[in-house]
Amino acid sequence: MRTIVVTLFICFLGFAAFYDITDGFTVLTSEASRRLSIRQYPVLVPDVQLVDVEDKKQSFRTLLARDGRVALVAFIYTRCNAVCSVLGDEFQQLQQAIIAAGLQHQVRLLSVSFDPMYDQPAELQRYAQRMKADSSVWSFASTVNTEELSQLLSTFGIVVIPDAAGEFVHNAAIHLVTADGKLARIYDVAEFKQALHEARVSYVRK
Amino acid sequence: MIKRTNLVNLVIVFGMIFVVVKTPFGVWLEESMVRHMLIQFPLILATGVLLGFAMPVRIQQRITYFNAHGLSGLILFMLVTAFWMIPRALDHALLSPSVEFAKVLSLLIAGMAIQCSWRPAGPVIQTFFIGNWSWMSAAVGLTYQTSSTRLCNFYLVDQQILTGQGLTILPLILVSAWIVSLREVQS
Repeated sequence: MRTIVVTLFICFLGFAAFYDITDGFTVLTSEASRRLSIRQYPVLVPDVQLVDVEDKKQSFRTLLARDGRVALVAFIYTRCNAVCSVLGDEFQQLQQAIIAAGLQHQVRLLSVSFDPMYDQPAELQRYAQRMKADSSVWSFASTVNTEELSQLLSTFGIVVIPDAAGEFVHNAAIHLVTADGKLARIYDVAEFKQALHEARVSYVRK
Repeated sequence: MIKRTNLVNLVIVFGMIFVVVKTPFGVWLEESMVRHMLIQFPLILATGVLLGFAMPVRIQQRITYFNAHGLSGLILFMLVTAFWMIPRALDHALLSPSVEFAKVLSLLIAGMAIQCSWRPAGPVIQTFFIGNWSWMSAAVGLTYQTSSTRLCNFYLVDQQILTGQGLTILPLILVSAWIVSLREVQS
């Protein structure tokens, strides 16, 4: 009898621990948990200083508000050979899709570098050209100070780890940010069509 | 009240935990997913087992009151080890000192639990337990290997695949060792 009571108690503790770490048996990874939480409670992006390809500085929220479109944001670094080039590829397809559907007044693309030391405006410009970016749809930016950068990455849930080859490894995702500066959705890179669809819905609903 | 030998044992155990978690060696272990899960975890569990052996007879007897056939202990071990195979739990352990503490404490207790429970369980329950633990480990191992995305924010995909292979091979070793030990019992 005592064994049964203690065993039940252990099971109860186990249940509580599993419930907690899996957000009520819905997620197994930190990434999934973050996406779920943002979907339910969109968060305001930090108002960090960004610098664009023309060396123009403005704060993130101002940039979003002035523009008025819904932004699909990805984090990259221009020297990247791995995930970012995949991201670049999806963004190119998104760019084509946006232009083909005539959505350039509703949805924009924004690639933000997390390697500000190397990715100066000139470097971003070269990257934009390499990606054949249409500046009316797709813009590029870098952060100005490292403290703000880590603030930005932490809000977007991007973890950057230097790897053996002297590059960075990071989780790649597409982030939907509304004109009022709210991070509202996060998608896998492969879900870019859904991202575009929901960006459009989110713009129309505004 | 505490006997000197017990005190020495406790100091040894805390020393081992400190080395495995807090020193540069511990940091090195946690830097890689394979070392974290397949070296550090077993080391903490082993420390728990040692702690179990060093426990005064009086306390051991107390525990048997509520650990008939080692049932409570084995279930505790199962739940604790299953929990620390969840990628998010690993992330949290690296992110927050309190979760890291909970990790060490729970694995230590799981080690003690298996030491207290193994003999009382007897060969039938032991076999059932080994079988269940093995398929759990292998299933998690296969998931780690086949996942197309990175599961832990702190570890790279190649680490994840390697850990998955380790978790898949581990049951093979366990089951083989178990069969060998059973044959010894029979003869």
